[in-house]
Amino acid sequence: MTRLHIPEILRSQVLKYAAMAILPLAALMFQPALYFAVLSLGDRVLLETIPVDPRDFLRGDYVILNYKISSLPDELHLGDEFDEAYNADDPVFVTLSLDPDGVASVSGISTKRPLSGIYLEGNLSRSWLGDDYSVDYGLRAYYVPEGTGRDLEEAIRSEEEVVLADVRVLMGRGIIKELLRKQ
Amino acid sequence: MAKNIISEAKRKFLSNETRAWADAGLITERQREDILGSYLVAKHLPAVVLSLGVAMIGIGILCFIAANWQVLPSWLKIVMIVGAYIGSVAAAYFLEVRGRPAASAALMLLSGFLLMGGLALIAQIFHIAGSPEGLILTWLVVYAPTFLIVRSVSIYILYEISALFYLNIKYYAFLSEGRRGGFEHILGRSGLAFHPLTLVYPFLPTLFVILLAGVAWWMWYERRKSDLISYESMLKRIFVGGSSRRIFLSNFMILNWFGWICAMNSTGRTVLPFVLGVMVIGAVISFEARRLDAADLSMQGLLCVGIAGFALSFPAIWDMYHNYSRSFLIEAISSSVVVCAYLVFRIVCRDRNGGLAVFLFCVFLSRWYFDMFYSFMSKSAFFISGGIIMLAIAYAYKKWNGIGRGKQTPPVAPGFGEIQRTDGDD
Repeated sequence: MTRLHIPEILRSQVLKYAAMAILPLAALMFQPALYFAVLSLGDRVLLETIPVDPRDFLRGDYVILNYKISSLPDELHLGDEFDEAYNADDPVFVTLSLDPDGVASVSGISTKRPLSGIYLEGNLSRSWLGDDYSVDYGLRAYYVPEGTGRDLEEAIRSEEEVVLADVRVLMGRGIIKELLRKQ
Repeated sequence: MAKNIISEAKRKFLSNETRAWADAGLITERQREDILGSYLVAKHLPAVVLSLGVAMIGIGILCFIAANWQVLPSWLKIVMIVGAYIGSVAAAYFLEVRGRPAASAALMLLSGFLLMGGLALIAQIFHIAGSPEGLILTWLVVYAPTFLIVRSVSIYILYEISALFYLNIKYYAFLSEGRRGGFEHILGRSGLAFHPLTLVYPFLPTLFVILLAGVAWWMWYERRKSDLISYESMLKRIFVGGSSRRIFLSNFMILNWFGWICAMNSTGRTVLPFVLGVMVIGAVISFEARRLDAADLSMQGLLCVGIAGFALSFPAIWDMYHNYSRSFLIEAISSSVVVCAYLVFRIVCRDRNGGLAVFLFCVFLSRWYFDMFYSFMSKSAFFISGGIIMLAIAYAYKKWNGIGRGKQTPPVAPGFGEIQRTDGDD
């Protein structure tokens, strides 16, 4: 049987290790590049939060954030296309309007990507009773140094502070820059 | 003259061959010694235990960074993550070039952990609450070349368990009614979110029954065709006919299916009999393997006993059966003691799969170490000290077993004392 001729370069150890490392390195570098782009080029919006505090096995402490804009106003009547989007786990697009302080509120929702304006992409989730939708924007976690999550939660729950998430938004993708605490 | 580095198994083969040649008068005793003297035996610790220790230290370092790195700028964190990954791959490369394949594979396993941890930490830096299945899927895709090229059993098992974990999460989502429910919606989806196995998975138990029926028919057919085919040889063909990797995969899949069948039982009372059944099957397979002199089959038995014993070390498993409002800690500890005694017995008997037995023993040790110390130690200290303990055990096992000193040792099972490199495997 004739043996397949493999060029020397393809048999080298260097190429073997390069082949193993190229995809992981691409993944490790592509995501930060994308997030840096959103942080530097995105629009600034402030979101009002309601926190809860868990602990992540690998990633340290973090605060789970719930947003006022996650609950949709009653005047937004969602049609059948939203049931379909929910069942298929397709994204929805929430258009935001900003008050003079830059705090965002929901002005509209669509299953199609808006052509202009500030909007966030999210997924619908349903309440236990199944008659109410809320939106998950993928902005639920804010990571803090190990052991400080509970302190932050207690400080926020004292009701003496309002916590706003400073979020940068670019083409529907939002990234939390920081949490702002106001007395 | 530069000495070639060979494995213990190859040195033993060479020693036996040259002994036969010397006895036949083909070479002199001096020539035999010269031949043997021109080779060096590769020194390596049991690869899986080494990997576990290295992985724990790696996770510890990551946790140390994760817990303290709020003060660092984002770009520096990214550089550290990428640098750690490149460093482990580069170290693996240099070790392989210097004839240390086991240590090289251990570092490639570490690179896998660093990659998974790195992806999770990047999400942390930018406060992204990604889903675990998304993280695992990304890892499975980008780590696939390493899994395919290195061909280390440690990496294979890690990859396989991660893939099964991912499938189980997807299947759980599939079972959760209302969302991702109907086939039409799954079919309607595209890209990475679409997973063909999600369509087949619910029917796998049925397929398994059909497969079992097929095997039973085949056994009957083979036996009728020739009286020369014994029961033992058929067992060998069924269980050890394929490569050890295929056996690993099929066994894990089978256990996984049965686990789902038991978990779907509304009362949960089937879980304990299932786990005990796996343990008994493992012991039977192990017994058969000694008789058949089949190392792969023996490995299977040992794994079944180890995995089932590990499950029994959790009081919740016992509680599911009894549903009493009391702690089942005594049952959990007792079962761990029994299984650990069995593992020690296998190690002391210089079993062919001694390396795997040491690994499973370390898993049990880690499990109870976790239970006792995790809640009040910092995560980084916990993982780093755990990793050092694992490495100490691996080193002690190496010393006791005389690996790497030319001492007469039992042949080590493929993949658990050295890197398995078999042509045509898979």
